Amino acid sequence: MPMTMARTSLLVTAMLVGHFAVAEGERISFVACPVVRDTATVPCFLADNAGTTYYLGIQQDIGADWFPPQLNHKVLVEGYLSGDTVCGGLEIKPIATSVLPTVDPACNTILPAEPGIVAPHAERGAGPNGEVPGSAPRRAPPPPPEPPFAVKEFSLSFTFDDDGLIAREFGVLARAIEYAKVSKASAIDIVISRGSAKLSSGEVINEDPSAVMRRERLIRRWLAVAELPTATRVSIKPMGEPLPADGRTDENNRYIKLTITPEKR
Amino acid sequence: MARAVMAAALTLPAALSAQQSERIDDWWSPGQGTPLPERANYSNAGGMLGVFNQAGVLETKGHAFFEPLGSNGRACVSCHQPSDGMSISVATVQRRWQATAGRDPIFAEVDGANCPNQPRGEASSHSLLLERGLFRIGLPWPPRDANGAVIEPEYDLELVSDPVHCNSDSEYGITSATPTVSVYRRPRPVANFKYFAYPRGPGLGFNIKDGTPLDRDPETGYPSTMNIMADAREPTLKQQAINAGLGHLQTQGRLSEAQLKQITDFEAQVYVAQAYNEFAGSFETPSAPDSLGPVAVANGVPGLGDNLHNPVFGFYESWKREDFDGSADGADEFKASVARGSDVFFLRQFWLKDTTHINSIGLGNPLKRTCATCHNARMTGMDLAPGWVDLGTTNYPTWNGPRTFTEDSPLPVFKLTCKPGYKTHPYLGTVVYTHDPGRALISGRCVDIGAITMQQMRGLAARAPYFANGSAKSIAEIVDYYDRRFNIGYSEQERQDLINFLSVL
Repeated sequence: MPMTMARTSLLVTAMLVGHFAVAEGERISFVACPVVRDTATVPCFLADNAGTTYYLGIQQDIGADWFPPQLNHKVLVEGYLSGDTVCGGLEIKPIATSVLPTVDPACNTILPAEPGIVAPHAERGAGPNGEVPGSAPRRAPPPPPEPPFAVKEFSLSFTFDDDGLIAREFGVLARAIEYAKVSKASAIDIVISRGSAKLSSGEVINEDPSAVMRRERLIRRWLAVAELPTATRVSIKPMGEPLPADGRTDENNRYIKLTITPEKR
Repeated sequence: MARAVMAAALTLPAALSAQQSERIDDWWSPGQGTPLPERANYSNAGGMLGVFNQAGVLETKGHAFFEPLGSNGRACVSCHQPSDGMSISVATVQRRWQATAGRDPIFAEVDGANCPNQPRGEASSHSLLLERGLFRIGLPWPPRDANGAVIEPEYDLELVSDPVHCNSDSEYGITSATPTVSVYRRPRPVANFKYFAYPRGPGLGFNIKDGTPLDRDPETGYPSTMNIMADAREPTLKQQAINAGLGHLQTQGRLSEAQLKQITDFEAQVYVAQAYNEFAGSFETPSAPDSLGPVAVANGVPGLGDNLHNPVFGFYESWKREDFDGSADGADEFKASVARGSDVFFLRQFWLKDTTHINSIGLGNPLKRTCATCHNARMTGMDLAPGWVDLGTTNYPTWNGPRTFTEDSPLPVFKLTCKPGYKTHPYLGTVVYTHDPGRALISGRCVDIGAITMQQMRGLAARAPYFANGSAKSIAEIVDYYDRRFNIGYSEQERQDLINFLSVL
């Protein structure tokens, strides 16, 4: 493992950030207040759990794959330990974080920048954007769907208890709507999940039923403006009971799935 | 050196106050019928505002923007005065009150009074307009969608205090036969629209901040930029004109298509920006920064600003002076101050915290960035995404007036309680006290409580006071507001440089 100022060995890390060592690849899942660590560049987002400090990620931009948590809210952290230390915390990578909806004023810690604590490189820094002129480069749109059409599934993912559709999911929904139009869908069957999460402590937390209701409202708003073929039958099935948590892939179980059945020829 | 600049700039408003008080001739009366020049300057506290009609001299006789079209004698121009950056300053309002003994059509009961039930001609009936430049905006309660269908609000709304006696009124209030919530807002400038009210093409139109569909242009079905109104309630300039006619002008029916075309054509080609400063001279010389003055605004290219390559308000290198030896004159010092102010705007980092629709959209809370992070649209400094945010100007605790709802305020105070099962305000929680629920009065959503669409930053010197509720009396108060709100800690020089920068936009 290469040594940099931002990354040190796991052994050293264990001494620095907590009182017990954890193994690379180990699953970790917990709820805690996020902690912001200022640096000379962008801030790092950390969280403490059971005496250990974890590194969640850095401030980025709205087009990023990962969104930072928020002070004034607890964060649900789910992922796997990479074995590295970043910005003074054990890195969790891959990682999924969810801003929990309840306002919690106790989550309000900003640590000052300290010598030796360096944030990873940020494509979009805290100051002017010196590396990407203008807005983020647009990805070329995928080619329009072509026959023969088959039953196809599209999945929109959400964070725990949330109904906000983030930028990277826009393309999924756009492709689903386009596929339904081009294939003259006879049916769109929509399943709205209610997820859950098994924490490292063994506790299981379930999404509030209202998250399902809010996701349903979102997809209905889109169906109202999608200009789908008039013959398309739409069914929406919101889940009442939460999907079981397995403590390994729970972050994948918060979704809206659209199954599109093309017109029969 | 910097102290000299500061002192010079601080004396400017006083030096021009006499000149400003003589501006009565700048008033544009409905139906006066004189041509609006292609290019005109109007004096103000910061120097002069420039107004540029890109289509050339405009004959206003018979023009729908300039003629009184309704029963109260107002025209669009009444509250969108060229001299006032196509808005109207509270100083102008006060001058009209003095000049007409309160009979000017801008004081029409419908919205120029605190409530239509109050006696016209008494200053107390128009206190919010006279003191803060605020017009009454009466919105249906509960909210309605574009088709008139009721939107079930995610919150309960209670009136906590009503110092101007409208929301509690039996005829005009929340429990009247036509339930109405009255809020009080400044008129937004009618200019520079190509940067934030442009027609979007076909497409689904995602609101990048939360993934909801953007509102649609009812004629084309295309998504809207949703940046025209303080609460984004009108998707297009045409829709705004239709409803402004019925509401503000009290037309008997919808304006004709020809009238609407005249209005929107005019609005699409008029540009305003400061054009002159006593110390810096004209902004429209080859050596001046390339984004100053209304012609530069007209010639600019819309889009997202990029601080290093294509800054929102251009480059100020030509005004930078690193080698002052104490002999520099006031012009050089002022220009250098403006250039430093530009750097403060674009480069000075601070913690943006607890701001709905900025921190809550995936950027993280807090966010370490600069003014230009949110003020990102070229030439106007608006938010190119739908720009309604809860900056803290309307919800309690406010940073611009009483900190709690129990203190005296000239504005009504509402208590909004989010119903179970809905996302609450992300930083204030389930119960929010506010004097303007903002976007939430249109969307019905708790997350929108207190969210007001960002205002453009051109021609500021011509149209005080600022913020939708007129709570900042001067550009200095805008800067001080942000300093308090985000605990920025500007130095005295940074503060003055930023004030000078904003005064030339």
